[in-house]
Amino acid sequence: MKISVIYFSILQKITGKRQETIHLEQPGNAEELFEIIAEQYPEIKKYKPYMRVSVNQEYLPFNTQLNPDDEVVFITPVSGG
Amino acid sequence: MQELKNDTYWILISDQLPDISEASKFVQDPSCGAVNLFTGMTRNHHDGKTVTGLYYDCYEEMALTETKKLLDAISQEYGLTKALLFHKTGEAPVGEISLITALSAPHRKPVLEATEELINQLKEELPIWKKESFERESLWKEEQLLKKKEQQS
Repeated sequence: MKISVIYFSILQKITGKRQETIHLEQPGNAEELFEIIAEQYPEIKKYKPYMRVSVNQEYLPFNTQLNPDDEVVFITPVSGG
Repeated sequence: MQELKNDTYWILISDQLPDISEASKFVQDPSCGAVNLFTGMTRNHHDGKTVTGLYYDCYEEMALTETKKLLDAISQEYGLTKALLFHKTGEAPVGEISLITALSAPHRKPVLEATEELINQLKEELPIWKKESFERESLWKEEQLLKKKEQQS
């Protein structure tokens, strides 16, 4: 299934991309998606301890099961305001 | 750009913010004796270093829905009449306003307390990221956080 991943801030800097589509061969959760992406961009692993994840624009736990065409954003510590 | 505007709320996430007088005017109401208007702007220093400007990256659609959730919760908790939040995206040079909040209620205490609560919460929840430009480099806040953690360990 296809998952849309959008990168912001430092993750955009590391990946060099704003968005990419990841194809999951079998059903998986956000944690597993992160592992797939981290294989491609190992530098993002060091931000993992401080990271949250949003699925379809909502903060959810990393063990959230993903569905086809979900929009996932790995959210490093925010600094608005 | 993302915007939600109705009788009670005005939320704007944009690279261009209206003047603060518009914010103040929006939250005024005949039933309200108190309006608290807050502005946050880019300062020229951080941790003893000269800051030459900021850049805000933003997951705009989610920032709008998270702001709405915050305003719903805070309006209910403090009995606010109207609430407004503007946040800038993109470049924010020194001295430029990047955040405006305006809250109104019949009496002053709720709007003063609610403003502090709102700002504390938005700094935790809104998917917005700041990059600081110093004289010799530009760093995202997360890069600075990680550097500090590495120095501590």
